[in-house]
Amino acid sequence: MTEKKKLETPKKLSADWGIELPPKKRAIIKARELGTAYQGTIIGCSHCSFLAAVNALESEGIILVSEDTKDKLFTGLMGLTGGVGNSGIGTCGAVNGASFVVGLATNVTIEENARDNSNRWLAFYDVKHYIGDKFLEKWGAITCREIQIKNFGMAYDSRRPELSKQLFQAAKKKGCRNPYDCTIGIAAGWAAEAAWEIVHRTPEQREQLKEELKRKQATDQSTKYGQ
Amino acid sequence: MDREEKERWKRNMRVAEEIAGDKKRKEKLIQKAYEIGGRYVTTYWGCAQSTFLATPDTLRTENIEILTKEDEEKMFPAMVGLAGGTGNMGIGSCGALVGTSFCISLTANRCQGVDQKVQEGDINHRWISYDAVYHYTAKRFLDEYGGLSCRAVTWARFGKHWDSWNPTAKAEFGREEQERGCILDTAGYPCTIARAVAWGVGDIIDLLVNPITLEQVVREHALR
Repeated sequence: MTEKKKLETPKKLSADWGIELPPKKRAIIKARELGTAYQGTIIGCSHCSFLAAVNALESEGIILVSEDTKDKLFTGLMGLTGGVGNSGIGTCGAVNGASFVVGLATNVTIEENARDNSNRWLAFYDVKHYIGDKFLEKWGAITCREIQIKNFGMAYDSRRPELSKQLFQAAKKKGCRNPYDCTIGIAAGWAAEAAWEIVHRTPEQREQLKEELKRKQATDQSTKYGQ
Repeated sequence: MDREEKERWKRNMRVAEEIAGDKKRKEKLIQKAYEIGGRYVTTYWGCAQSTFLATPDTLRTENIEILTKEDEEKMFPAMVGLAGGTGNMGIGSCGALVGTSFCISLTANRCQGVDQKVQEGDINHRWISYDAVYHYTAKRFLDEYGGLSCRAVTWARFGKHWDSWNPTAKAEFGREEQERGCILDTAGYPCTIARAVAWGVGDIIDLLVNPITLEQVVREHALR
């Protein structure tokens, strides 16, 4: 009987090498592992990347949302999988799931957004900086089809049953279902890293960054409106 | 999903049935969606979060509660960064599409009792929300704008695309939006946000009356 593969890299590293990883690093590795594992059990880039990052952060004591809210976000995110409704055309679901995590960490609330709508630039910046730019650097795109092309040399229309199966076969053949090559795992890791850094900003650092962004975007017409 | 929420979805489906059978009531609700969507444009100034908030707020005026006010408060921050084609980058999905799709996906799943546990129990459930989002929101955007991205929408509407991270271009975008009336005349020239909210509200009524079932998706996608 083969032993069931365990996804416990941080613990394993500690045991094998005597390395005590810092909690942030543990959260990142855990997110990568969970993202990859969830793609085998729950399936779907959007909700898997989201859940992996949130659960990994929780394992290190960072609670971004309650269980009830997490579940609702999960079901809302599902439809954003595979470039929106599995169409392949829109934003990669892993980008969406990871961006949700970043947004929760940045925490621009209804009140903060309504009080001064230029406050929203902070969330735009965090999503672009921590997720969007990283996807552009690695894949040259943030959309599902283009990422598939980069990963597999071609993209599949998952709305067609036979092509959806081919996409899964291509991933299997490439052997990318591991925490270091899986798009979902990578996105979850980036989201966990981002959220870690964002929630550890001091209130002063947050305000400073926000004001800097607002200064740079002072031509934004939206500041003239609002309640 | 707790019993209280299950009861809420049952009530939502009953009310949706009533609205679907009353043409005038449905038209009034859609009109309200344009009004609330238009108002939120200038309040929050972001397609994803405005659409996300306006959709349940409009439905609530007719006693359909897809999210509680408390849910909205907690979830809103997750949406903000998705505006403007993801982090205002323009290249990703239009934020209005994201906000609406989220509400459609949530409704498609939860009115059928699908939550994370149910999806884990049978992974085919995921196709319920994939199909709902594809057949309603994505198709509407493809028909109207020829694409799903922020760039596709602005290209179709203005024949231009602006880099929203470039302050000069952003200012020009704002000027053009204002001149066309899509900011201050949302009834006369509905912007994408108000339009997406109206589509979403109408589609959610339809989805509650004709929910997509597991049997349907298994058959249509040849799932095992």
